Parts: sequence; C-alpha cells; structure tokens
Amino acid sequence: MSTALDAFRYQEEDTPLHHLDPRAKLLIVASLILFLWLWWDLAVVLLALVPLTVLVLVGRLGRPLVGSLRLYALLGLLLVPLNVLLHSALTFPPGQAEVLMTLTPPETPLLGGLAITREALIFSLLVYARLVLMLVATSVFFLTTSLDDLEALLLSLRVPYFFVLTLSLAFRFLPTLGEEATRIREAQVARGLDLETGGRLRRLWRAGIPLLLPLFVSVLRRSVRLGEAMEARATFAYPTRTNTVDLVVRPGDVGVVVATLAFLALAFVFRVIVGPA
Amino acid sequence: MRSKPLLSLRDVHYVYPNGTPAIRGVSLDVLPGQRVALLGENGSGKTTLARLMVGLVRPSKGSVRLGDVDYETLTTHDIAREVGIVFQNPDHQIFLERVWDEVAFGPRNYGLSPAQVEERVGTALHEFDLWEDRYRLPVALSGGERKSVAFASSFALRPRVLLLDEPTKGMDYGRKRRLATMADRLTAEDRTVFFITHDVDFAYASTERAVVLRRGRVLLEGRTRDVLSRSDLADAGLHEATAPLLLATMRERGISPDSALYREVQRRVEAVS
Repeated sequence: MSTALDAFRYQEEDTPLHHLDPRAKLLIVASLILFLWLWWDLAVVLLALVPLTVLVLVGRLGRPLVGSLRLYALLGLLLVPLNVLLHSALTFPPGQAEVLMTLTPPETPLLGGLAITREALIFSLLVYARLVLMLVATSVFFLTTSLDDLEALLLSLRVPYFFVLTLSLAFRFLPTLGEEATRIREAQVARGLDLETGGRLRRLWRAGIPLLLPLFVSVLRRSVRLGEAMEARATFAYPTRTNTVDLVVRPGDVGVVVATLAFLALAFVFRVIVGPA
Repeated sequence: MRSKPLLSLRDVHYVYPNGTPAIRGVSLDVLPGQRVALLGENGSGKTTLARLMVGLVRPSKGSVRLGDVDYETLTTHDIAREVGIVFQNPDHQIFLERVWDEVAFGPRNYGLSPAQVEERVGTALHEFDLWEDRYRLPVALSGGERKSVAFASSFALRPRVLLLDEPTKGMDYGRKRRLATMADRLTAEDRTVFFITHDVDFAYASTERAVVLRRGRVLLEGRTRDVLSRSDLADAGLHEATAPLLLATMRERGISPDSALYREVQRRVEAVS
C-alpha cells in the first residue's frame, strides 16, 4: 500500500533523473521553489507546472506521487477554508471585493458581517496550489536521490560530517522504526490491548502511551548501542576520511544546470513583462 | 483417548505483502497440556507461524481454528485472551512505571476484578522471582529481569496456549530453570506452552514435543527426544542435543548403557540440560 511518506522516500529506478548529479537536482528544485515563493499569481503556478511535469515523467515518479494525493487533499481541507475565511475578513473584505456568500448578518455581535469574497477564494486556492507544487518539487528531489548521493551532496556543500551522518542515520533508521512500531503494537495487542473495536479516535487514544513509550525507550537504547558501536569503529577519530561516493560533474549535468538557469531567466523575464495575473 | 486440539492449523500458507512466501502449507494440532519446541534456522518461518497462531496476521490460504471456532470469526483481541505470546524483545511491551502495573496491564485489559488482578499478578510475580522488584521501574531492570517481567505479564493472562519467542536468549541458567518450572505449572493446568527457540539443549530438557520448520514447511515433528537426537537436524540448521549426542558417542565407543560410568554421565548431563 502506498502512503504519503512514499512520496519522500528514495525509489530505485534507472532514469536520467536518478543518475543526475544531486547538486544539479538541488539547483532545479531550489529554483522552482524560489520561483513559486517569490510571486503569488496564476501565471507562476502554470509556468512551474511545465518543468515539474517533465521531471515527473522523466523520473517515472507518477506512482509514488499518487500515494501522496491523500496528504495533499487533507492539507487542502485544512488550509483552504481557513485561508478563505481569514482573507475574506482581512485582505479582501466585503466592500473592497465581490461577495460570493454571506456567512453572518452584520448585526451579529463580534462576528457580524462575515462573508466569502471572490478574491479571497482565488487567492487561497493559489496559495494552496503553490504549496502543493513546492511539496511535489521536494518530492522529486527525495524520490530520485539516494542516501549516499544526499550525503555526498551535503559534504560537497561543506556541511560538517557530524551533521551529515546524523541526518543520514535518521533517514536510514526510519524503516527500522516502522518495524519496531509494528512489533510493539503486536506485543500490546497480544496482552489484550483492544485496537480493533471503537472509532479511530478512540483507538488512537487507547494506543497512545502503550505504543509511544516503548518506542521511545527502544529508540533511546538503540541510539546508545549504535553510538557505542560507531565509537568502537573509530567514528570521528580522524579529521580526514574517505567517502563511498565522490561527486563528478558530467556533461549531462552541466547541460541540465544551463537549461535550468535558462528557464529561470526566461521565467523572470516573462513575469516582469506580463505582470501579475 | 486423544484429547481435542486447543488449536488446529490446516494447510496454512502465509505470503508477505511483498509476495515472499513465509509459511507453505503447515498443518498442526496443538493439544492441551503439552510443552512444545518450535525449532528451525533463521528465516524458517517460526515467528511468522507464531504470529498466525496468535491472530496477529491471518493466513493467505488454509485455516486456523481455536477449538471449534474459525479465526475468521474472531478479532485478535478475542484470540489474545486464549493464545498469548511473548516476543523476543521485552522492550517492545514495557511502558508502565512499576513492575506490578506492567504485569497487571493484560488482566486489566480484560476487565478482571481488582481481587482477581491482585491474585494473578501476585502469583506471576512470585513465579518469576519478581516480588521484591514489584515497585521498581521496569525499564531500569537488567535485560534478563525485563524478560521475566514480559513472561510474568503474559503468564498473568492465563492463556490456554502460550508462545514464547526465543525465551532463553540472554537468560542465565537460574532464569531458564524458572521458565521450565512455569511451563510445568501451566501444562499441569492443561495449558500448552510453545518454546520458539534455537536452544536445542533447553528444548531437549524442557519439552516433550518438537516441531522443526524449514523454509516455511514442517520438516520434522514428533517426540522431542526422538527429533532432537536425529543426525539430519543439520539440514534444518540445528545441531543435535548435547545429552543424546554424548551418550550415543559413549555407546559407539563401546561403553555399555548398563555401566556405572554411562549411568553417571546420563544422570549428570540430564540434570544440567
């Protein structure tokens, strides 16, 4: 079963995007996010969709991204109504914007005159679309970059080895943590903890402490053991060390970087000439 | 007359979600009042079979029945009341702040009265030599003690079938003997204890029936003394039990089973097994 997390977990595939230098990939994704972050209109969203679609197709990322649709839907359900209400009240209030629906009569104490305005609705949908596209761009990076490549990338950016190792261990132990959580759940169910009957919230409440506390203790014990095992193998003992992956720039990588920069330059020009949507 | 099985497995198959077959057509009757050893090399399917017996996973094909009732009609919660399990790692279940509460967790889940809970917890704590530690913080105990807390916690539920996954791993001799005594007590009440283990000598000394798995199938099944004396155990990644191996070597070297030396060795190896 695919889950929302699958959209951020490396998927081994033999595609040009997977083989691309992680620095080039980071540049692409960072440029897209920057582009989406700088401006707030429909043209930007539509422009960003073009390279994103190309990346998803080249990297064969359709299937893992489908798993994240539920996450985005949930995000939309939480964010859009809240944004619409806030922007209808503060940024685009009735009188300055076209009212689509009146929620409370003006004479209501405290909350009188609440309405949904057309501009607030469009603006909120755009904010949501931009956020989703930023998340998809991040997904594209993580889906196609192995942990070894990620480590090499961070080291090439002069991030201290201690932080790189800590981050990489956190990623590497995620599946183990999942297995551990399953074992703990089974152990508690075998002692009669009822996680099958009642509503979802009720089950979550019952499961909370019996699942989280052993997981926490287990993670702490594992960390101590891992730390000792690493120290026993001379981790951090010498200032210089060799790496499994050393990044080498290939002609294809240069081409992608040039294309990305060209796209960005064009997008900026387009944005300046056309102006906000 | 043969007793009615507590649990019956019929042509049980289990395939992991990624398509790897783990159990391939196991049929087994679990009779009351037995101490059973479930043995096999790593990855032979022992733990998966145990999870199937507890209802934590359901068969891809075949059936598991508790008495006359098919598991399909039961929730895991219902099954856990009759079939208990203690997993290898005690840290997977310990979460309360006193040993007493940890052992009382299961009985309380089934809504037993305070008096019943007190009686069961007291018995379990005495059985596993934990009475003096009853107010201690379980996570602060030693590995062997935490394992005993996990055993006591399942013992207090009084299941009809109790499965113990690698129960002797990391345990000293004294605790192993206590474990065997606990199994004796349970079987005397017509309950059945499964030891899922690689510890051939413990199985030889403490069980009367052995089931050996290999690649998800039952390779050998029968009286423990017969199964664990077989020289083809190596096919299942196991070695023969030390006691029969030593005695067989003595016989091969011409030492008569009637001789004083033979009887002395037999008495001593069986005493420490």
